[in-house]
Amino acid sequence: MKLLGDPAVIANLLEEAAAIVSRRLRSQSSRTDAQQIQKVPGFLFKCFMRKVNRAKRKQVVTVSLREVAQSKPSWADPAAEFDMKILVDEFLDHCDFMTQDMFLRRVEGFSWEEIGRVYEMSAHNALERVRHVFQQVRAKLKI
Amino acid sequence: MPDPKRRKDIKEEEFLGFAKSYLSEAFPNPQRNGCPRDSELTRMAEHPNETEHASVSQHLTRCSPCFNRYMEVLAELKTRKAE
Repeated sequence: MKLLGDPAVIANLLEEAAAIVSRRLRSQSSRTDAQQIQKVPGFLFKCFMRKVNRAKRKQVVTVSLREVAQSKPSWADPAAEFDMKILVDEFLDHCDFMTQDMFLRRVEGFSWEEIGRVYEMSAHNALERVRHVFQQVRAKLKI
Repeated sequence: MPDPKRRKDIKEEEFLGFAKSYLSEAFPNPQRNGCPRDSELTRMAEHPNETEHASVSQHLTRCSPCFNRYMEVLAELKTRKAE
């Protein structure tokens, strides 16, 4: 029960289980002996546990989806991380002084306008300068 | 239909975030070999000049303490300019 946490959820599940038992009891007459409920408390408990297990399974899925939504960066797995390291290294190797400094400023959160002002060019030109090297390196590395 | 040969998009913020965490940790340089003076980093942040700062710039990408310091200097500069 601890896994489900919320008492309201548990109460709901118990209610649903009770409804199932109640429906089954109402239709007892049309069933064969083998299908009839012998012990009501036992059957209720079984229904309830089935509901609990289903809810727990759903809970696990919900958590996983939330984790995905919060999305680990694409480089969270070792192979992707390795690719990214190579990409950063190669990118920096291909940068001239100005492009590298523009990139470092961008890393620190400067806007392209601010970067452009430092090097007396437009924001667009600053962006294109960095992007051009980045695209070249990506194409070369096929990453 | 998506082209299967097309490379996966790398978002700018993703690349920048990775680069920052990678460069800030991957090159510890505990002996601080070849590190420029703080004033040189400040000067480069304020008035970048290739002739003067080419070697400093090269060093930054291979020394995490200097990279981190340069990031701090840039952040200070950004704050000062915003005021």
